[in-house]
Amino acid sequence: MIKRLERTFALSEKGARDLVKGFIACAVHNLTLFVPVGILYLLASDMLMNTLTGRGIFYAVLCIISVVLIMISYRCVYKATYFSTYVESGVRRVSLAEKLRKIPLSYFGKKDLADITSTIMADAATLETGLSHWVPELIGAVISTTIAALSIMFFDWRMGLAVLWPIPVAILIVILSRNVQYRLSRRSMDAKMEVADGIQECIETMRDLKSCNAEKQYLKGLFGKIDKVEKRSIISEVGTAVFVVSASFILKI
Amino acid sequence: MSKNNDLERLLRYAGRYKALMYLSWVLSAISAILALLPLICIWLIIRDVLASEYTMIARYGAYAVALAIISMLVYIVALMCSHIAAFRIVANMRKEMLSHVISLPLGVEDRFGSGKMRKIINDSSAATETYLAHQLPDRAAAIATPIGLIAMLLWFDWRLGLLSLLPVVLGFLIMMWMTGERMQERMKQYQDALADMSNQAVEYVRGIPVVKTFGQTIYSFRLFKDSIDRYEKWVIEYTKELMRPMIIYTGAINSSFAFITAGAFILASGGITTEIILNVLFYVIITPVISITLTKIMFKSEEAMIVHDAIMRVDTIMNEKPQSDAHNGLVPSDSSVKLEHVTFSYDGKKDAVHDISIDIPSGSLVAFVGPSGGGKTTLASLIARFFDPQEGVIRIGGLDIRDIPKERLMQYVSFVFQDSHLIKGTIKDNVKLAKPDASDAEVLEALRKAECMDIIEKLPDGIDTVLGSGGIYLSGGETQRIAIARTILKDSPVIILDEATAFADPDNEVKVQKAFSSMLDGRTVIMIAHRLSSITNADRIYVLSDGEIRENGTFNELLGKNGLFSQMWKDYQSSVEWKVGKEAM
Ligand SMILES: Nc1ncnc2c1ncn2[C@@H]1O[C@H](COP(=O)(O)OP(=O)(O)OP(=O)(O)O)[C@@H](O)[C@H]1O
Ligand SMILES: [Mg+2]
Repeated sequence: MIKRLERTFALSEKGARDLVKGFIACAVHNLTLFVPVGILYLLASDMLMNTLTGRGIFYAVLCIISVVLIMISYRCVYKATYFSTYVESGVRRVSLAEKLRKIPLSYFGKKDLADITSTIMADAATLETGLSHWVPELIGAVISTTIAALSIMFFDWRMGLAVLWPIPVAILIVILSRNVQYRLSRRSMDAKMEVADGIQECIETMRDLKSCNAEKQYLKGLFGKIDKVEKRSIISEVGTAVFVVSASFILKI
Repeated sequence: MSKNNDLERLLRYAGRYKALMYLSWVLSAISAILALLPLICIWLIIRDVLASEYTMIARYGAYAVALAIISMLVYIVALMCSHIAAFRIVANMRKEMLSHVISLPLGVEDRFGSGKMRKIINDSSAATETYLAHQLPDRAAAIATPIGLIAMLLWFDWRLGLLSLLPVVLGFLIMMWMTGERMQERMKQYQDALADMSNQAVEYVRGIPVVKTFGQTIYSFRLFKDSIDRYEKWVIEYTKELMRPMIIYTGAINSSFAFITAGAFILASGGITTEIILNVLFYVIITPVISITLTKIMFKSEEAMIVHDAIMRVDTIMNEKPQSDAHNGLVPSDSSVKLEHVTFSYDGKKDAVHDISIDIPSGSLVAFVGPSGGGKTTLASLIARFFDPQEGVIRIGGLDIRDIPKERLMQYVSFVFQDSHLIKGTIKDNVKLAKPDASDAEVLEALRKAECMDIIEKLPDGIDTVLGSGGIYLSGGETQRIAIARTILKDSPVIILDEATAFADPDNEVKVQKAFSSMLDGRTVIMIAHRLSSITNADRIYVLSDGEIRENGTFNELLGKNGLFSQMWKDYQSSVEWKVGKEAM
């Protein structure tokens, strides 16, 4: 598993290990967030049974402990995710640059190579944010939800099932829709690339266009491409919305 | 701060879709309020349960679910609206920037660099998308939710309400402390460090294959590594700095339960009633909603900063002054070109051309020669008004070129560049650029005159071959010949030819010269020559060096002067002999 993480996110072995730590920290942190729920449950039942008097100190201690727990576990999350990814990022950038350097130059023009490099470096930054923020959070949430649901099941399997069943269904929808979504985003991506290329070309050939009095005409064509991006973006947004809506509907019910 | 201005700026790009943007906010706020209503259903359910009254519970439950679903649907409609408006704003931003760019003098593109300019036009506009499409509607919801919540919290039991709001206030204070002015500055530092790193990476990757020397490799690698280290150090310091506030913040927003517990005790000390139990239970259920809402607001400011940054970048382009354009019916009386005391500088420090006065009669052939960097291309570009001189006047047919509408000026002047760029498209598209309504026969005729037939013949689809795709690229000389064909088709009275500095093969060189000579008759021609043999018959030759005219006269006059030109001629001849000699071997 560590190996796979290394490959998927371009991490070193230490980085992958840290990422796993991040998952665990997030899951633990999420679980500590359930502690207050337990306390409030106790409180409610005490109130209903009218056994509240005299237990003030007991509750005060419980509350303080759980807030401290939450803060400590969050500290772990913070350290395991933010810190380790940023340390990792330096390593990744150097190895990326090494790889790029080894690509035969004839493969790209000099300018393209520069462009590719800066794009890749920007992607590295995106990956960084993803790894430090979203990925551990998501995985952690999945783990802690599963644990919580399993423990509910332990008490009452019917209730557990009632809570759990929508999750696989939602996942199924997401998987089924992936194909369609992929195609949609693919096409809107193509349109976007076309615009980016068009803008680049427009700037590079501006001198030629101007000396031919053709700049307005060229711009008209480029505007057409921009409009196409707008249209495609809307289509793919609607497409995605349909699936997300149906998935989250099931989750909510 | 300037964030409201940013928003105003963005909304101006929305055009007719502005209303859609506002609608999305309203819908999003409505959806947020709708999402709170199920809480009231829950309150009703708890009340009934405590009163052992079970008949209405199922109905309340159904209401709650229905309200939740409606709220979600409204939210989706809101997002749809905001997305459509956001896409329009991005599209309009790009269009407006591009329209602005084509009105700028050409030097601006060189100054920015085409890659950077594209990034600003394409990426900075796209960077506003998330903000517009998601953040703003969410912000509307984030404003509506607390208002609704506060109303509700205070309505049911103001004491518990106030208590559960306390952590919210705490969270806010901490957040403000974290995202103040300093944060903005930090964000900028972060962006700078990223940009620096990316630049060094480019230098490193690009430099290696060219400069093979070992020392250089180490040097550029050092620079790159240093920039990475700097970034890493900065980021880690920053993360450390933020750790404490983040932990406290997390603790604070998650501590509402403790306050409720305390509240329960305070209330219970006066004796427990069903109503108290009901309210405590209710608050137990809704306090998590508060922390969720808060977390949602948390991310807002970050995006707002990205947008602010993007707009600043956009402004670097939009603040460039466009070139003036005349709107009148003035027509140059002939094709003479006259420069009067023209001075121009790219950077405002060093003059690229200095105090130049030249008189070119209609229909004559003049040549600009001189060492590389002498200012030949610059001077010729001024005549085509690619930029305006800081001092002096340029006249074509007696008119100041600033008084000639740009489109007409370009009909008068053609420029064959030292390094022409072709657009991605067919050869025909490229040639027809100058004259969109030209027939195929005209295009072919121009290509023939420009000695391009050998290029056309080796292409798979002739003049309909798409360039730049399927590995079809033209060499510099070939590109220049296509550009000449374009100019021939355009048929303007003034022609500027900027000979390419170096040709890979002599065959190409001969063809370009032949193509040039087919354009000479009857026009005013300014020829920038590196091969001095091609200008022996020029009416007048100007020798430019360091942006000034050193000598001028006919070929023979200049040779007789024994000055810069005769030296250049000697050098040229020996280089030709050397080349011929090498070929003979
Ligand atoms: N876009 C630009 N921005 C800033 N400086 C420039 C730019 N283009 C040229 N220069 C500078 O202006 C001076 C004149 O350059 P110019 O291109 O006119 O020379 P040239 O005579 O055409 O040279 P060559 O024979 O190499 O084509 C040079 O010092 C050059 O570095
Ligand atoms: Mg030049």
